Amino acid sequence: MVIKLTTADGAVIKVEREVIEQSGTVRNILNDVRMTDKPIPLPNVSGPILTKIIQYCQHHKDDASRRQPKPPNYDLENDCSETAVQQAIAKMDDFDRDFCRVDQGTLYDLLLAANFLDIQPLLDLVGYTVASMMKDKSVQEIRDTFHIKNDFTPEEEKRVIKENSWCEN
Amino acid sequence: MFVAGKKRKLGSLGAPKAAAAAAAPTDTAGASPASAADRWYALGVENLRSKQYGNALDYLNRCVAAARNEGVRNAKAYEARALALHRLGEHARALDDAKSALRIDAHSAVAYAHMASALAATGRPRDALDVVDRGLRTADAQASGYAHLQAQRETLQRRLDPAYVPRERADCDPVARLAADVCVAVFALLDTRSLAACRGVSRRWQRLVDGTAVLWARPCFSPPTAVGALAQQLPAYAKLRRALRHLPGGGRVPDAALRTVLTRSREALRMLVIPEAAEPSARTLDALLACRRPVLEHIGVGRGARLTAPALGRVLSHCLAATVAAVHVPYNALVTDAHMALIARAAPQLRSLDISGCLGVRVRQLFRAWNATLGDARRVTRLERLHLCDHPGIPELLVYACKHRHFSGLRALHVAIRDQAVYARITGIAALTRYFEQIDAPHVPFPALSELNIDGLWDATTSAHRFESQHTADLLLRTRVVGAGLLRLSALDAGAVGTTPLLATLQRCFSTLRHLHVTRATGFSPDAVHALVHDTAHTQLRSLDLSGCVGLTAASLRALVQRSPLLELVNLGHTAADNAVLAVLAGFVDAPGAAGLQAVVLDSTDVTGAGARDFAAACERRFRGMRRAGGAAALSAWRLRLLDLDNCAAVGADAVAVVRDLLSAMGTRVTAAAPS
Repeated sequence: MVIKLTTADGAVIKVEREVIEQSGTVRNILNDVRMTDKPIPLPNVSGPILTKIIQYCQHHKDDASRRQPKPPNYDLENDCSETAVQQAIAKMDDFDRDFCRVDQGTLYDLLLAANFLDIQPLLDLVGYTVASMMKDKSVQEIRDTFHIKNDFTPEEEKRVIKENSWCEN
Repeated sequence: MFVAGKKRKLGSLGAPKAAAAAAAPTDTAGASPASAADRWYALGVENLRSKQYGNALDYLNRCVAAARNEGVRNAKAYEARALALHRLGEHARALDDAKSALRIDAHSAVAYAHMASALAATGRPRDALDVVDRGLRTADAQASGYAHLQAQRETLQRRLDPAYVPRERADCDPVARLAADVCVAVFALLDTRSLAACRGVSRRWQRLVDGTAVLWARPCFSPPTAVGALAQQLPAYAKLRRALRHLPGGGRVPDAALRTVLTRSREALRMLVIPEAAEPSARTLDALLACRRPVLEHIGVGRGARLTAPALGRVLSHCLAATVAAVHVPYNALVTDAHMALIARAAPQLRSLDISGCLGVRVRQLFRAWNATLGDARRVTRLERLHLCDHPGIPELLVYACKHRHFSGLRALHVAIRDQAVYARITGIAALTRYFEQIDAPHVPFPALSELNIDGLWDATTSAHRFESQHTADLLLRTRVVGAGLLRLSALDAGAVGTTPLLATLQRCFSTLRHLHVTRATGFSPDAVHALVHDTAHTQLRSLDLSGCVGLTAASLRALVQRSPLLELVNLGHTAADNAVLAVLAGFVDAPGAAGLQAVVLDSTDVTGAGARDFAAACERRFRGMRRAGGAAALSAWRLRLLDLDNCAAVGADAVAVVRDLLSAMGTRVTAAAPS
C-alpha cells in the first residue's frame, strides 16, 4: 500500500507503507486514523530530509533485528560508553557510512527528523556519528569541528581548564 | 555618484528591492486591478529598479496617499518607500515607513530588513541586530527577504565583532541547533572525559552539560583514548601500560573532580565509582551520602582508594539496593565476610562482583552468604561475572562450585594470580582434591562460562610452590571449569605448565575461542599446536597472544595464524615468528572484506626488514584504497594502530624508515628500537 506524506515545504511524497512503518510516529498515525488516502502531514520534516530518511528505511526495511529493542548492556566490564560508540560504528554497513557522509547541518536535520518520526536505529546511527566528532577530542578541536566561538571570559576559561585538568589527554 | 556611494556603503539592499518588485504583481492582483494605488506602486517599483530614487519616492508618496484614500492598508507601499528614502539618505523617515509596514504586516521580512538598514545607517548597529533577530524569529523562512535578513545579520555581526563566526558556520553548533532532548541523547553517548572537554567549549555547552544530571549518571574515570583500549586488549604487552602511566597526573582523579561529578549527577547517579588511588575527602563522601538514596546500578571502589572502614561501611549500606548489578571492590583489605553477606542479602540482582585480592573474604563464607539468602544449595544467583584474582581461596571456589550451584550462572571468571606472595597462601590442595573426589556426582561448575582468566595460576616462579601450582592446573582440568563454548581464555605467565594439561585444556575449547592469550608457556610445543589445528579449517580467533612461548617453531606459528583470518590483535613477541608469519598477516590485510588487523607485536623475533616493508606496504595499500573509496576514513576506517618491531636484529634502520613512512598516513604507533 502507498502512503502519502506532506512535508514542511508542502511537497507530497509517496512511500510504501511497509517502508515508512519503521517510523513509530507514522505507524501510530496510520493505526489511529485508518484513512490512508489522505496525505499525512509531517510539519517538522523538510522534503530533502524526508527523501533521505525514506532511502534509509528502504535500505533497512528487511533487517528486523534493528527494529527490536536493544537488549540492556550486561557487559559491566566495559563500563565506558566508549565501547558503545565503537561497537555501533563497527556495526554500520557501507550504506550507513555513506548515509552519514553529509554536512553537519544535514546531520542535525536528520537527528531532529529521526527524533520526531521516532526511528530509533536512525537516531542511534546519526547520534553516534555526531558523538564521534566530539569523542576523545580536545576542547579546541571540538570548537574547530563545529565552528564554535569561545565565549568564556579569560577568568571563566581559566576556571574550566583547572576543573578539567584531570582529564586532559 | 551619490547612489553608487550609498550602495557601496550599505552593501546589500538589492535583494529586498528585487523581492518587493517580484512580490508586487501577485499581491496587488488580489485587490481591484485598476486601483490608483497599484498603478502608482508599479511606477514606483519600476523607478526603484532603474535607480531613479527621487522619482520613485514621488510615485510611492502618491501610492501611499491613494491607498489611504481607498482605505487599503498596503504594507508593500511603505516597504518600497522605505527603500527609496533609504537610498536618498533619509534614514529617519525610512525607519518610520518600515515601522508602518510592520504595523500592517508583522511578519514581513522585507520590512524588518529595511528597518535594520535604517538603524544601521544612523549608527545604531546593535539595535539593528536586535531587529534582524526579531525578523528572523517572526518572519516565514520561505518568505522573500528572509535570506537577505540572514545576510544582513552576518554583516552586522561582523561590524560589531571582528572575530564573529559566520552564520552558516554558527549553524554547525549542535547545542544551538538541536532540541535539548536530542542534544542530551547525543552527549549521553560520550564518556566522562569527552564530556568534560565538551563543557569547556562554550558557555552554552557548559550550561547544558553541567545542568543535565543524567549525563553524569555513569561517570567513568578509566584511562583515555586508544592507547588505553589497546592496553586493555593486550594485557601482556607491558609497554602500553607503561606509556599510560606517563600520562599527566598518572591518570589520577583529584577529589574535587570526583565531588563535582557526584554533585552534578545528584539523584540521577547510577554508577558510583571511587577511582583508583583516589582519596575522597569527608566532604565528598558527605556529598554522596547527602543525596536522597540513589538508585545505583554499579558500586566501584578502585584499587588503592583511601577509604576508612566506617566510610566503606556507610557507602555500602547507604548505596546497596535491589537495583545494584555490580559491586567492584578489588584489593580492598577492609572488605570482609560481613560485607558479602550484606551484598548477598541487599542486591538480589547482582551480576558482577569483583573481590580480587580481598583477603578479608573467605570463599567458604561467600558460598554461605548466598546459601543463607537463597536458602537452597541448588538455587542459582544471577551472578554472571566474578573476579577473585590474587586470592588464596581460588582452588576452594573451583571445588565448592562443583557441589553448590549458586554460581553456576557465571559467564566470566577471573582467577588470575599476579601477586607471587599469594602462592604461598594457597595450601591444602591435596585435601581439597580428596574432598572433590568424595563429592557425589560433581557437576560442571560453570556450564555457561565464556570468559576465563587464569593468568599466573598455572605457574609459580619458586620451585617450592610449583608443586601446588601443578595441582592447581590438575584441579582446573578435573573440575571441568573449561568446556566448549569458552570464547576468551587468558593464561598469561603460564610458565612451567606441562604440555599435557595445557593441551587438554585448549582442546576442550579451541573450536570456539576468540581470544587466546597464553604467554611464556615453555610447555607449549609444536606438537600441541599441530594437535589443535590439524583438523581445523578456520579458527574463530580475533586476538592471539603467544608472546614468550619459546617452544613454538615458526612453522607451527604459521600453521596457526594461517587458519585465523579474523585476527585483529596479534602478539608473537619473543617467539620464533618469521617473515612467513608476517606474510600471512599481510595477506589478511589485502584480502577483500578482511576484518582488519589492529595491532601486530613482533618484538625480538626473526622478522626481517623486507618482511616488515611488505607488510607495511600491504597496510598502506588497503588504507589508501579505503580513502579513495570515499572518506569513510573520517568515521570508522580501518587502520593499523600498533606495529612493534623492537629488538629484531634483522630489521635495519633503513627498513624502519620505510615502514614508518608507509604507516605515517594512518598514524600507526611504530616502535623499532635496535637490539641493545
